[in-house]
Amino acid sequence: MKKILIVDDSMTSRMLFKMHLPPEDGYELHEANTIAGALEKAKEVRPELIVIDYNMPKQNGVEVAAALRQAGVNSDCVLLTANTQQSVLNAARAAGIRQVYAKPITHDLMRAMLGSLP
Amino acid sequence: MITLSDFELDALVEVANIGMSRAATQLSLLLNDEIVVSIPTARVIESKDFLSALGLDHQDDAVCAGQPLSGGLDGYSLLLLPLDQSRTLISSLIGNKPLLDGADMRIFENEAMTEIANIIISSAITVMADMLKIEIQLGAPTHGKKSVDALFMHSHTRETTHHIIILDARLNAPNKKVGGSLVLALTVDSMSAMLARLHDFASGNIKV
Repeated sequence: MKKILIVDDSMTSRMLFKMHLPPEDGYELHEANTIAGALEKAKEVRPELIVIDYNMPKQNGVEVAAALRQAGVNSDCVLLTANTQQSVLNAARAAGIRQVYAKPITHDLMRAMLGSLP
Repeated sequence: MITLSDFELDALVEVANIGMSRAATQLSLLLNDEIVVSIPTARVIESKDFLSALGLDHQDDAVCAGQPLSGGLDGYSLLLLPLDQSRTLISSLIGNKPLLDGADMRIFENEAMTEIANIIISSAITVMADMLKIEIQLGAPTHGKKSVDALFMHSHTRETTHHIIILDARLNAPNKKVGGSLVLALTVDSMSAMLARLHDFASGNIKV
């Protein structure tokens, strides 16, 4: 069963993500709403995929991804964000984030995100 | 009094139109429904007239959620809609399952509105920033039921009376009978910078 960690300070956003996760395909979803929570959960669960929001208090999603890498978390990281300005795309690419997906999450977007998992 | 030429008004409306159309697209994806977006209007007003310009000075049940802007554009963007329609909007998003009650439900509703506003506003600002080839910082989203103090507490425009430009459009989901306004309030300096940028594109000083 593949494990996914969603990191987003918005409860609504995490709920929308959960609602779009296909129930029949055996994904195990974990959630974090802070960087500290994300680090703890990522080290505990070792997810195959970490989905990170960009606009978060204190640190943006690119900084969160960098912090995870520094902590030795090598999971596949993608951004799921409404802020897809070129500056954000450039920062994500420079930080080694595989893909930036534009909110809102849809079934098609979820399929694309999960389909690209190794 | 600041007046804008026909070209300047047209240019501002077009940039806003592109941004708000993207916002409508994202809202359409969020609700899985058609969204009708009006052509934006552009007005230069005094900041003290902000609420009346949006028709909010006599309306107690408007819900607002927004984000401050800085960097390439300085101002504030917000989503406004009547309280009952905000609940319809949230129900459309998550279904009609009662998840919580009482105070917890109100907290959830506020949070949901904030996230909806974040998606819509960020998508509008993103396409405008990329179009103008500038970077705009989006502050943390905030929410608050309409009251003069609540609105201006989060507003960039409250400090002293000065001129601001308001670009706003109506977003309506006719099938769900939900509608609201997406508003962009910018400082005059930001407006001037935007117009200068568009002049540079038009004259070839900046390549598209």
